[in-house]
Amino acid sequence: MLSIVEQFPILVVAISLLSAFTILIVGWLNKKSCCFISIATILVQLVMAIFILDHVLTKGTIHYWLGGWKPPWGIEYLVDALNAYVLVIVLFLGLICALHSKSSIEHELPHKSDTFYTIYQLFIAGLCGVTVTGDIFNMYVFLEILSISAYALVASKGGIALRAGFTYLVMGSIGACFFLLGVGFLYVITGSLNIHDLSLLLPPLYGNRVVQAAFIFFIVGLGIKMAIFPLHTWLPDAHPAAPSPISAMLSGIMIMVGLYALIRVLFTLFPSYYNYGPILLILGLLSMTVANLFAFFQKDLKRLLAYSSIVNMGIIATGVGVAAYILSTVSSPSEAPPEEASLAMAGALLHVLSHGVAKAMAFLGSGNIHSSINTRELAKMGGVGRDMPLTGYSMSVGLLSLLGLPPLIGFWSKFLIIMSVAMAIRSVGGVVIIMTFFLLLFNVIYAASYYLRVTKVLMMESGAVRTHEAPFPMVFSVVVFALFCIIGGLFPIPLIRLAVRASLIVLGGG
Amino acid sequence: MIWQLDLILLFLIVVIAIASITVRDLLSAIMLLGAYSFLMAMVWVEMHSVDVGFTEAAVGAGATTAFLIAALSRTVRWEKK
Amino acid sequence: MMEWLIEEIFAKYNYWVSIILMLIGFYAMIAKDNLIKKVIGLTIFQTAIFLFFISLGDMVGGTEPIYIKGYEGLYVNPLPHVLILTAIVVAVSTTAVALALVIRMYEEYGTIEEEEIIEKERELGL
Repeated sequence: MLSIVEQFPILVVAISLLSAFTILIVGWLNKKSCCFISIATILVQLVMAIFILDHVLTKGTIHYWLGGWKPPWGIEYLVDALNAYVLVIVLFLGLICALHSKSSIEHELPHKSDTFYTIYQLFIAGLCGVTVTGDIFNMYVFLEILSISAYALVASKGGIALRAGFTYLVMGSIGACFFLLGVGFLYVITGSLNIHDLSLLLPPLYGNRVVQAAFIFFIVGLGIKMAIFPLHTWLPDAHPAAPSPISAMLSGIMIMVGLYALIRVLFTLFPSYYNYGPILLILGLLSMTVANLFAFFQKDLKRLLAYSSIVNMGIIATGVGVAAYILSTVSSPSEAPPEEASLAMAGALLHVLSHGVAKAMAFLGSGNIHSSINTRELAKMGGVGRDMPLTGYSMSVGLLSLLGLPPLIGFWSKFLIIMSVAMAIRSVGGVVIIMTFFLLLFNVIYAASYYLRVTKVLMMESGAVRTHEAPFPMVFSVVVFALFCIIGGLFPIPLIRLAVRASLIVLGGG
Repeated sequence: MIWQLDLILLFLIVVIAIASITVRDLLSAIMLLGAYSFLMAMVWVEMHSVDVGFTEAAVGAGATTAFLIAALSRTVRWEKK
Repeated sequence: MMEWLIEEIFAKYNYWVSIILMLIGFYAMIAKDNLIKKVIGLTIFQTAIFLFFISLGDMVGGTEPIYIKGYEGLYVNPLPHVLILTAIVVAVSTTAVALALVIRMYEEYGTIEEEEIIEKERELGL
């Protein structure tokens, strides 16, 4: 008989779906209460996710079989440390963005708040579903629920957002169809759809061309969803055009969930198939470098932050690629992974958390500024951080954390990745690792140029229209994130320990 | 599965798909898409999957064609060169 | 030569036709300017993938996967049918959202050709 905590994975998804339809019905009668139902639901989901994380860390992974049918005939929800870690991040960011949207949606999308909250709850349901599931076709279904809600939310503001949303729709559908083709190829060869089962059936078949084709389809399909270098062109139009809490969720966590799906496919579904390390490494380095060069010339604050999301996605992909590359040069794959590989992966996972919090805070702060002085261009924002002190200081903390300044949380994640690459130069060596090290250092230093420029414009220049502070819910969310950055930077050890534990599960250390 | 019928149907499907994206009158393009969905439904029934066959007939030839005609009624009918 | 031709091309004509249809739909999504043609291309692309999946499950001499008492032969594999039912629902939802966006774009810009929409955005100074 399962305990109550072991039933939480399915409840997290089901409650979100139920509340989406409840909000739609209640919204006909009373428009003001939609926001409270949404915030209450996400709070309940966050409490459940914390219980799941606690159970997984103390008692082991959770296996939940839908309807009692054991795999490989039924769908299984498998939650281990990596799933629980990403789930808590998703729901934490979702809660704070919902709090922010209480005031900002009346300003940006007047009279449409009940449909906004319905689609927002479906979006959260899709995010949670991708994170907890253990069946590869179920992951496709939730990825599509997530994407369709995102298309509608991006285009909800009207005007220039419509064409950006349409381009995102076309490219996202192509990506999902490639993912479905990959699932089909794997089903033809093995006859099973369960991720754990496939990881036992696939290793004898690695020379088969169908398996290699399925692998390429997965990389391309998920690469479109996570905006890695040649497939990123939808992102600089779509992320600035969305309303502010949705931009925060898209940049902060949706591309990270695409990366989580890629990590599941590459490390759990195809275990020990480590020849792909160089592919991910080179794509990550290219996205970092090219997007950095673009970001320097932007004059619009939200577009600059969107390019910076691509840069950070490149850093995380580089971390994951380094881990895979180090594992591919190790002689015997059955022993514990070398220390550099697990540190690189832990750095990448910690960067998911620190980038998510800091980027969400930057987008929410730009929403505050937009609601006060109604502009998005950097030239007209000079000195607005002095008129809105809480928003200004919090945004500075966030931008410095993205930069990687020492007592903040962004420093620790970049430090782990760069340190693991430096350790790998000594143990593994080779031209690729040395080039990775120098490109990482160059990009981290180059990114300082535009982050510091934005901070200087906000806090030290002058020329903006005089204004007052934003409404309370918007300020509260930004300040909560800033406090998280500072406290996480001063006491990073529990977070680093959690990230290392999650990375050891992924790399097969146990 | 009768392979002669299968070949004729698939050949017709390819011809109709190419025609549907080439004609300039958008109402004709939508009608050709409806015919494409109908022939797909026939191919699937012929491959012994009857539930997919009637779902595709209801959704593709019914709902999608109705949505496209509704969208066409609020926009222009002719594609510009 | 003849065995290779028969085995690779003539015996697998379903999969070849599915790939040709995928390429036709993909071309329409990228190269055509009219937004409704792009939506038509998306539909053709997705139904071509469904054709690929269903032809994976079919077998020679099989019958429909409905239980008949006293039948001793082969049944066709029913699992791809279930996957495709879900995928058809996803495809029709995507088409509905795309068409809603097309109607809103016509109300906003007065045209549904993508080149003219880009021109108008540039004129409005965005």
